Parts: sequence; C-alpha cells; structure tokens
Amino acid sequence: MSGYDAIVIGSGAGGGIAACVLAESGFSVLLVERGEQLSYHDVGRDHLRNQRLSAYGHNAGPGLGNPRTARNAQGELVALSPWQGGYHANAACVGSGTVVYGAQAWRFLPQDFKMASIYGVPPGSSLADWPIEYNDLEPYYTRAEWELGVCGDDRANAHSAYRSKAYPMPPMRSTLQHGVLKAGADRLGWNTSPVPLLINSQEYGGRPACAACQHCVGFACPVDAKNGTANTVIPRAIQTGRCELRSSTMAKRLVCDDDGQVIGVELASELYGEISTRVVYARKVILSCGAIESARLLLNSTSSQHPSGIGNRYDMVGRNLQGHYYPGAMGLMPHDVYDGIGPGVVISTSRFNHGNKGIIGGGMIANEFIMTPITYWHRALPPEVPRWGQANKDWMRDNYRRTIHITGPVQEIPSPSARVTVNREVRDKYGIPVAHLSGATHEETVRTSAFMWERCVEWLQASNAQHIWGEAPRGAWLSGGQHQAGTCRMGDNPESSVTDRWGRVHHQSNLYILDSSIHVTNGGFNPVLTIMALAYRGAEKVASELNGH
Amino acid sequence: MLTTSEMSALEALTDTIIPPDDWPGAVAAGVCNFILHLLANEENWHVDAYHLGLAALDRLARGVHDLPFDGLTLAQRTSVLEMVEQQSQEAVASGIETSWLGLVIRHCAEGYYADSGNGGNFDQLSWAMVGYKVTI
Repeated sequence: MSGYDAIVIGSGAGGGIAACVLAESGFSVLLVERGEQLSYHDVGRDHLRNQRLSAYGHNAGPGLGNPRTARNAQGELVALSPWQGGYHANAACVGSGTVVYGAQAWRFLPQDFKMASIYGVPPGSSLADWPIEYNDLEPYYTRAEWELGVCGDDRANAHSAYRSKAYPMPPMRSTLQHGVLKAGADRLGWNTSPVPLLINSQEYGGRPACAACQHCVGFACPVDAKNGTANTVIPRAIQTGRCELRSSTMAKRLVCDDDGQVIGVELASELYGEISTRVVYARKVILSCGAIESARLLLNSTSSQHPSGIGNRYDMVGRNLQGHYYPGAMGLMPHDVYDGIGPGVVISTSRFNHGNKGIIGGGMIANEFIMTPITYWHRALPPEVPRWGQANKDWMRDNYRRTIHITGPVQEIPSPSARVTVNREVRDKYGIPVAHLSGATHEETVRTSAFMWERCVEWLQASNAQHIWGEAPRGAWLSGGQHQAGTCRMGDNPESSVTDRWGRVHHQSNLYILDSSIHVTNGGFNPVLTIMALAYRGAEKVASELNGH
Repeated sequence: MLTTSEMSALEALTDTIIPPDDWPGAVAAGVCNFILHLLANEENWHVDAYHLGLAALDRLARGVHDLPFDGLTLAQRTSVLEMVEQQSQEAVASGIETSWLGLVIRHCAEGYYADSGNGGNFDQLSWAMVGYKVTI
C-alpha cells in the first residue's frame, strides 16, 4: 500500500520534533496540523484574545466550531467555546503552544519519575512511578536544549539533577524584581536560580537575541527570538524535502487493517464551508495532539476490533487528566519594581519541589511574566480594592508598577476520575464527536497547593512586601489547560497504562503517542521540555523500527 | 444600536466607573466606542441587557434625585452605583441588576486598559498612566 513512512498528527512541542527526527533520518513524513500557519502579525497583540486573557477568543486558535462539553457548577451539561473556562485550550496553529508560550524550559527532577515509590499512593489517587527514569531522558533533555535553544545557568540551581552538558546560552538579563526577590530569598536562606527559557539570550540558531519586549507570554515574538517548533525543527524537517506539512487539516479517526492494527488516518479539511475527507496510509502513526485531543482521537477510532476505541481495552484512555494548580500571591512593594524588561520571569526556587514534611511533592515557584494592564486588572487586584471609581483608578495608576506576583506549578496528584470521554451528541465543524471533560484532581493536590501558596507569601514577606494578597486554591477541580497531561500514561502493564515506555500504544505495532498524554505524572514544573525530550526519545525508536530494527 | 439618550446615560455611567482626573476618564479614553464594538460583535447577546440596565438606572436616578442619571453630579452618580451594589430597596425596585453593573464595569476596564486595537484606550493613554511602555 502506498503512503508515507510516518504520519505525525499535531505540530506542537512533540509532533514538530517527531517529524524532524524522522525526516532527517531519511523517512517520508506527513505532518498534520488542525490550525493554520501564523506569522507574528497574524497572532497580533490583542490584550483580550490571547492565552493569558482569552475574554473573547484566542489569537492562535482554536476558533469557533471546536466545542467541548462539561458539566457546570449547577450540574448542567454545557457546550464550551475554546476561550471559555473549563475548555482547557491549547493553541491550534503550526507550532501550537510553542508559538505563544512563555517558554520556561524546565527538566523534571529524578524524584518526579518516582512519585509513588517516594510518597506512597494516597487512597483514591492513581499516583504511579514512570516506567523510565530521569537518566533515561537526560540525553534527550540536553538534545532539546541545544537543538531548539535554551538559556539558563546550569550551576545556579542547587536542587537540580545531573546534566551532561551546560545550557547553550547564558540566562536572560537581570531585572529590578530579580534584585528584590534575590535579597528576600537570601534572608530566608533559599537557593534561587534564573528561569531557564527556550528564548535566545544571545544570537542562536541564526536568529537574534530577545528584544526584552512586554508581550512575551501569550503572544508571538516580534524578533523571532522565542524558540518553538515552528521556527526550529519544523522548517528543518521541511528542508529535507521529505516532510509535507498539511495545516488546517483535522484527523478524524485512525484506520485499522483486519487485525486491528493502525495503518492510516482519515483526514478532514474545510474549504468554502465544504468538508472533504480522505484516508492517508503510513507505516507508523504518531499522535501529538495534546492530552485532550490525542485521547479524543483514540476514543473516536471505534471499530469492530476496537469497540471502545483504540488502546482502550482496559478503559484507561482519557483518565488521569492533569495539569497544574497555580497557587500565587501578590505583594505591594515599597518602590517601583517594574522596569519593563521582558519576558519578566527571571528568578525561581526549586527548593520546595520535594522534601516538604507531610506534603506530597510540591512545585517550583517564580516571579510572573510582565502582565498587561488589563490582565493585571482581571487577576491581580487586591480583594478590598473596589473594581470601579476613583479608588480603582488610583490603585492601577499608583501600584501596577509596584506589584510582584509569585506563582508556580504544583505537581498534581492524579485522579482516575479526572478524564476525557467523547460526547457523541455534540459534533465539531467536521462532524467529529467532541471531547467531554469531567472529574477533578485529588484532594492531595489542593493540600500541596496550600503549602506552596504559603511559600509564595513567605518569599514576598522576606522581600519587604508591605501588603500581600491572593488566596490559596480551595477545592478540587479539573486541571488541564496548556499543561494538560496524563490521559494515555506510559507503563509496563497494559492493564494500567495506555502506552509502553517508548510511547507505543499497547497491542499496537505502529501507533505511537508523543505528547504530554504519556506523562504518568506532570512534575512541579512547566512540562514542555519533558514533552520535547520524550518526543526525541520516542521518535528515535520509531526511526529504528522503520529501519527494520 | 443605542439611542441618543441611552448613549448619554452610558457616557455618564462609564465616566462614573472610571472618572476623569489628571488622566482622562472612560469617555475621553474611548470606552464607549469599545463597548459599542463589543456589543456589535462577541457580546451582542448583551445588547438587551444594556437597554434594560440603562433604563433601570435612569428610573433609579429619577426616583432618588428627581433627575435623569446623566443629569447627576459625579458624587450623586457614585452614590447611585453604590446603591445598586448594595442592592438597596430603591435599586431593587428599579429592576437594575448587580450582575449587569458588574458586566459594565468589566467592559469599562477592558476598554480603558486593553490595547487600542479593540477600540478604546485612545493613544494608549491608560498605558502611559500606569507606566506600561511598549518598547518594540
């Protein structure tokens, strides 16, 4: 049967890398992306339509016609648009979230791969160890750091693990907030480090250094200094002449042979309101659609051999959906702490990722990116300040530049009931049943978040904040968002996992998942560098299989 | 979309929510323009709420001060909005909803502080006010 050596579905952090590795290994690749290719100008600088504040839409997709469903607080089934709360959107464009992300480039810690062994399994949770260890991923973390480009200081973080190579670029320049928070951390005896970023602190990869603009997270880079897959590995893949990128194309379902083995994909695209579909075949199929959409595609690929969807023999696909809780506190400082030097996130501590007495896991905390004024108004005002009138205007004028926000991702304790299913009653614009989201994280996540919130407050106090506000997250809810993970976890036991330790779906010879779906747990860090490392490692395995090994 | 008298009431309302001082108030910053854009697009399902809300606000003003809302001083308008927030007896009787006021407050802030491309924040003056400078 004619076709490609590999079809990669999704061009974000995982899929872009998988396509590049396979194309550069000499294989023909079809890279499918549901969104469009977007330039800096296409993304624009809309302060009300971005991943940081999506009041009325998204600047990088997805757009209308892509609903999901969930139950609201009243228990009613509701269809959600991509920018509404509860949708848990990832950008839909070539490069996906890596076009508009903040680009924090953290490695998980060795302990993050052994959460169940270290802490035990809390009742009701699905906490588990990964089938692989940090050392299995270390070479691929290094590869991602060097091939895409990461800036940072490998010697500053006392809590980091072994690394085989330094960062390719020095950290970003210091800022006012760095000085204030470093002094506070020194008073507390906390080790801090610059935040590693997939951003050029100096010229790298033929592209310039960061221009320190005020629109980093949520927007595309005006000087192309932010390193995502759309400006690194995807152009490299295309340059081989063996990778065909097909954007604005949706994967509808996976196609199997008579033995139930995946041999192709049915693709759908829209032109002038007309939907057309076609089946494309390949020796290997790689899903890199993100934790919600990869699970949805498997669950929508039902057939006589797979009545409940592919890889779902044990009802595991879509479970353990997790992202990150983000406890945070704001502090009013005695002086201006705003110097307008972007991206703004400069100082962090990994001191509380593990080893917290009576607490399971923890998380990294750092100061926040530069907030646009309207995002500040929405997210950062103290509760006692009126939302209108002279007092509100006075607060914005006097204190926007004096506020420091400390926050960070808390490692979630997964719950099997937090899950993706499909709602066959509601269809997207292609007629495909949509994802339905339900359940909530485990209570231990809430407890760890309360602990981390106290650390945020402690840091602000030690840094001489005059007034501190913000609340610890209360209650267990579904977490996903841009850090969504866990819905097709890897494992050695096919009854309690969806893929093997390489990302290959159990009982499937040709089907791989290379995105955050396969994370068993999601670390107390931004997960993108781990997605990238897993994609390098998994794609190498796919290449060796294509070579007949 | 809105009548002349509704527009006048909307201007009075938004200038109460973000009053002028050393820096322009909501109206001079283009907030009403922003709201009209929004009501013609993503928030078009709120048009009726604006019609009803502005009428109710006017009833409340006339009931309390015997003047239309846009005929009141800033101090009087502020106290009327406080009555709405506190759901005073007169405010409840006028039929005005606190959720609508919350919506207008949010729209005002977005019109005042978001990028000028959305139709408000003329000349990025609110950014100059808070000290958010776009360098590139």
